[in-house]
Amino acid sequence: MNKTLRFLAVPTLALGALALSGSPALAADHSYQSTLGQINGSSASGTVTVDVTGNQAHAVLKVSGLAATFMDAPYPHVQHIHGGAQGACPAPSADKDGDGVISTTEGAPGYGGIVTTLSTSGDTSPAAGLDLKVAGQGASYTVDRTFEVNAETKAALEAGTAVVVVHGLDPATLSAAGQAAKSDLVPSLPLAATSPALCGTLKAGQMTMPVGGAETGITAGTAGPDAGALALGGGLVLAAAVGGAYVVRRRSARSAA
Amino acid sequence: MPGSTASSSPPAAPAPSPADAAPAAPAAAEPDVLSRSEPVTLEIPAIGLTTGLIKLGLRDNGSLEVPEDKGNGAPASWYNGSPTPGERGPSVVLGHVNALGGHKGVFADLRQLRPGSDIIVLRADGSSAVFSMDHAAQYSKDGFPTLEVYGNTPGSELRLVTCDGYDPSTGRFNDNYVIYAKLKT
Ligand SMILES: [Cu+2]
Repeated sequence: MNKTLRFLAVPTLALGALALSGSPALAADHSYQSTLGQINGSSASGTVTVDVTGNQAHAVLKVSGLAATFMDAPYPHVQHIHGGAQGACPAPSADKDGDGVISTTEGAPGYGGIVTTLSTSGDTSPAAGLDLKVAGQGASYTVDRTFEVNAETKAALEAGTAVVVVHGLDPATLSAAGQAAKSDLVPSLPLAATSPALCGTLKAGQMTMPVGGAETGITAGTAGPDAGALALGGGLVLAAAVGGAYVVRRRSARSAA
Repeated sequence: MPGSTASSSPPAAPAPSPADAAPAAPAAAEPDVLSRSEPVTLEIPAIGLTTGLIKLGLRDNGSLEVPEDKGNGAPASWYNGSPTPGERGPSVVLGHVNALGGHKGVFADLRQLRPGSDIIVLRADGSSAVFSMDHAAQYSKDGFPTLEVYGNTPGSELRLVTCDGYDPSTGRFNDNYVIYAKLKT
């Protein structure tokens, strides 16, 4: 379910929240997460979460510190969920040809092939894997996609072998040999353009992750003379949804004071 | 008295024995943790706090339920979708910073805690999980870093969450204050 639908659903569900307190109605069936680590000295960082509900996956990828520009335009970073191998990010020793760069192919024994493209719009299948038009753009960005999860991706997630890889290095950071080399994936591009910059294995979450902090921005209708009375605010949000209960509770609060 | 706002007294628990409860054969290089047991009471000696822990889940919109203040303040709560305190992963405990009628909330004094302070959770199986505060952070509720707070941890950790950033113009608290603690082994 995408964010828009989730927000639309809130008002009609607000009453139910009181009666069925604690029911995790919208919780995903499975939640996966990873903190991404740099590859090839990219000095980038990132996080990714993938929530699977039925056949729908909701992926949120946040990255920063990537190569920013390429030929005076925002640098296109192709990015994927890989799978079907060991579920591992490559160690420096994966650089078999010794050019100082772990290419996508050299990393594949650890993370496998592309099973999903984390494109910015449209196709999320492996077919979109090298489409620069739907790649991440620039040094820092967030991609928030909900898409139908394919069988290969679902299997990799469940097996713990799904690995998120963000590609695209600043050529200036590579060795001379690396700068001269052509991409193993798209020979018309330099090796830097498609080589891994960030990598992280998706692992099942240790909890059903709550949305937001201890109050998640449902602000409408909470302001009022006693809005500050409940520090975490949630009680008031629910109270506002059912005015009657609110009045009763306020009375008992006064008599207790 | 910070402790006087808390609603329950500690049960007569037997001597803590966290080491006895460590599960067999954790994966290599993972810190030892306790087996699952739901929390009963939270104690923070440095601020004189003892509170019962109620169990709460998520609202229908996926956000955390918070304890209801019926006029006498509210105890803290453990989020029952998170690991139990002492299990591997981040266990999440919530408490109000203030209470109805202008009183202090159960977590009003969390800001006084310093790294190294003990945080003790008595558990239903009679064991206790003793955590040591690592650090604290304040986050805007609009930019809450869910993965940092709720994301996987190699060992057993604890998150104490309360509010901060009171805005008198709206009567709302704009921020969350989070204490990160790790199980002592
Ligand atoms: Cu890839």
